[in-house]
Parts: sequence; C-alpha cells; structure tokens
Amino acid sequence: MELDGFFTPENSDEVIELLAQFGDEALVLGGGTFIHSLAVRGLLARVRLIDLRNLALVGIESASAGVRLGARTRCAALARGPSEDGRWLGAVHDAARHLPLQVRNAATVGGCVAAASPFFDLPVAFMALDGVVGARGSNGIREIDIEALYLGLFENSLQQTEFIVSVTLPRMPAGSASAFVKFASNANDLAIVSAAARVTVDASGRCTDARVVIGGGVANRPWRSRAAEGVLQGATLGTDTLEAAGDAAASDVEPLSDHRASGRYRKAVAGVLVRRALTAALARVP
Amino acid sequence: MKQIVNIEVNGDVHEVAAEPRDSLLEVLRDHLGLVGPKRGCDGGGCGCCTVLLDGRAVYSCMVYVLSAEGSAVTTVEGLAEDGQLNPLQSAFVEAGAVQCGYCTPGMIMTATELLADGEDLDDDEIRHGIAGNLCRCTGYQKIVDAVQNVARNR
Ligand code: FES
Ligand code: FES
Repeated sequence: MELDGFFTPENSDEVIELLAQFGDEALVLGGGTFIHSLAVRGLLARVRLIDLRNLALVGIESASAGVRLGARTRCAALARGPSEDGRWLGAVHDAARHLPLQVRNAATVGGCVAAASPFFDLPVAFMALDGVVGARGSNGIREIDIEALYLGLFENSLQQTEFIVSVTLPRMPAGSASAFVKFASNANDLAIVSAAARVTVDASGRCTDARVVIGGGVANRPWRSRAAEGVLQGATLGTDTLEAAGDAAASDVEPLSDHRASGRYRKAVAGVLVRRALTAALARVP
Repeated sequence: MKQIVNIEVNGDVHEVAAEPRDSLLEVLRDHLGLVGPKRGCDGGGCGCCTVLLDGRAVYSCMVYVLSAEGSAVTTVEGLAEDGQLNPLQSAFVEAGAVQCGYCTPGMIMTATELLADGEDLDDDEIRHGIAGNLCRCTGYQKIVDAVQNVARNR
C-alpha cells in the first residue's frame, strides 16, 4: 500500500473537502483495524487517511425515540449490558462482546458499519434493530436505512463526499428483545455464520414483529431473511415455530464457499443459528 | 511524507517523525527500541504486540501511529517499579505461565486492563478477556492461574 498522506480535519466541512479532493484515494479512519487488515493483505492501492479524531462524534445518547451512537464510539462501549430496560438492545451487546478486547477497544461504530463486510458482527445486530445510519454530506445529514447501506462485499451506498456520523437504533416497544449468536473457528476469528434476532411479543404470547438477520458469508452483505420473519409474524413462538423459522432462513440464503467453510455447511449452520438467536431473544422478553 | 507525532510512552514524552503508514508497533520497536511488544503476525491476529493506549489494551500493530497523537502508551517495560517486577509479572513467573515468552508481554498488558477495574474475575472472564492473545506453549491454564492469583489477592 502506498499510504500517502494523513489528515486531521477540524470539522465536517473540512472532511468533505478532503473527500472531494482525493476521491477514491480517500479513506476515513475510525479505529483503523479494518483498514490495517486490508493493507497487510495488499488490498489497498494509494490511500490518504482522514482521521476524524477532532470531530466529537463520540458517545451513546439514549432518548425516548431510541439510542444514538456517535460514529467514533468505540465498540468496547457497547460490550456491557443489556440493562433491565435495554433488552431490546441485547443483540448489540452480544455482538460487541464477540470482538477480541484489543479490537473492540480500537474499532469504532462508524468504521465497522462503513466497512460493509458481511463477516462483521455488529452490523448484523444493527440491522436486526432497524438501525439508521446518519451520513454527513455537503447538504447536511442524510439518513440511510442500514439495509440500504449495503450494496455488496465491501461496498456501501455512501456518496463520495459523505461520511458516517452516527447509527441510531429506534426504541422498540414493550415486549421486545433481541440476541446475537456467532459461529466461528476460534474466539478471534470472523464469523463463519452469525445471526441476530429481534422479537416483539404481545400479552397473549403472539409475535407481533420480528427481524431475522444472518451474517458471516451467507451472502455478500448481512442478509435479512424475510422468509423467516414471515414464519414468525403473528405466530405463537413455540419450539416448532422457531425450528420452522430456522429452516426458512436456511432455504432463503445462497452462502459463499471459502477457506472457512463450504456454502452447504454455512446453509446448515444458518438454520441452527437462527433458531438459537430466536431462542435467546425470546428468553430475554420481560 | 513524514509527520511529527507526540506520544507519551511509559511516562516519557517522545516526539517522533513517522510516515502515515507506520504503526505504533513499528515506532515502539524500531524507533524507540522498546522490544517488549512483539511483532507476531503484524495483522491483528495474535496479540503479542498488545500495549495499553490511554489505559486500554490494543493491538499496536493495527494502530496508525499518527492517530495516536497526544496519547499515553504503556508497554511491558513500563510495569516494573524500581527495578522490581510488579505483582502481575511476578505472578506469571511464580505460576510458570511463561515458556518461550513470546506471547507474555502481550498477555500481561491485556491482563493489566482486565485487572484494572477492580471487579472480581472468574476464570471464564479471564479466558474470554485474553481470547485475543494466542499462546502456542502453555495451554493457557497457567496464564489464567497467574491472572487469577493477582485478582484474588488485590
Ligand atoms: S502482531 Fe499485532 S496482533 Fe499479531
Ligand atoms: S509462552 Fe510461548 S507462546 Fe506463550
């Protein structure tokens, strides 16, 4: 890699100017862990790094509408919880805890989302919570549904002069809970398959809303399984239903084969993990 | 083009001229001669380069040094007090938690963060905490024992 320039702009407008000036060569730096992992594999050509450290963008703000995560918030800040009234956020805490300590202390919320890697854990959880990404551009902040942020492998829908400033998770109604589970070859590796589930259950035990998202190479981006959600919607969530949702999710994906696992294997694991994520989410419903 | 970066390492402030691509690990080892942090994989996969950056364990091989401007770094060289090993270092020696020693500086820095918040740690939490540090020799049990000995005697 030819790393040619390191910039520390003072404000958003300066960031946008640099993005405009350097075009494809500009990379916004959060914690640097993903950029470094590309660089050591020789996957980056000429690069100018734009470090956001002079912009505030750090912190977790909880309001009645939801929780807003500043883009420079370290993933470590999400590794605690969930608190009693934060069970709907369970998937986020689960996912953050899967990162090795040294990575979650460096990696940022904005960076892990912008990377557009299906193998990362937190975006899978964010998608199960209908996360909304705030992208700052020359016309102010554009809100992007996180599902629409992902176009393909390492490819996001940000415009050349936009950068991520926040991820907002809208507060889920009472009776909601979420969970994330991961299957990897060791505690330090990327997911072979991961799954996040969110359910909202009414007083009679019926599921009024559900999200099922699968990560880790079952698609070229985190994959929301509407087939699985369809099985859950309106149903009473007994063992049979969860099993059927897992099966639906597995038939819904055409996973990739790589050095970690074959596509067939991933498909089988996806069904199991979806069931486990749903079971874990359900166990958290107050 | 080189840029100047100011970092505090083990209490001393250093002004270093570094290229944008230079990692914190390179600067520690190759500019400052601190060879406690090891270069294992140079890619965020082994943990033997772990140092504390403003009190938090990070892979120094993955930190662009220019992004660490104004930060305080602690390496394993910064732990001994008046030439005496600190309690965690002594615990590693006593538990036999060191064989080849290549992982040890990183293990100790990660464990330093785990022990810093003063909460009780069970063995599972220690194992989970050091999951980002590989050891090819010890089988981990003696490392967990060493950290647990310190946790218990705090
Ligand atoms: S050398 Fe940094 S993680 Fe291996
Ligand atoms: S003592 Fe040899 S790698 Fe840990």
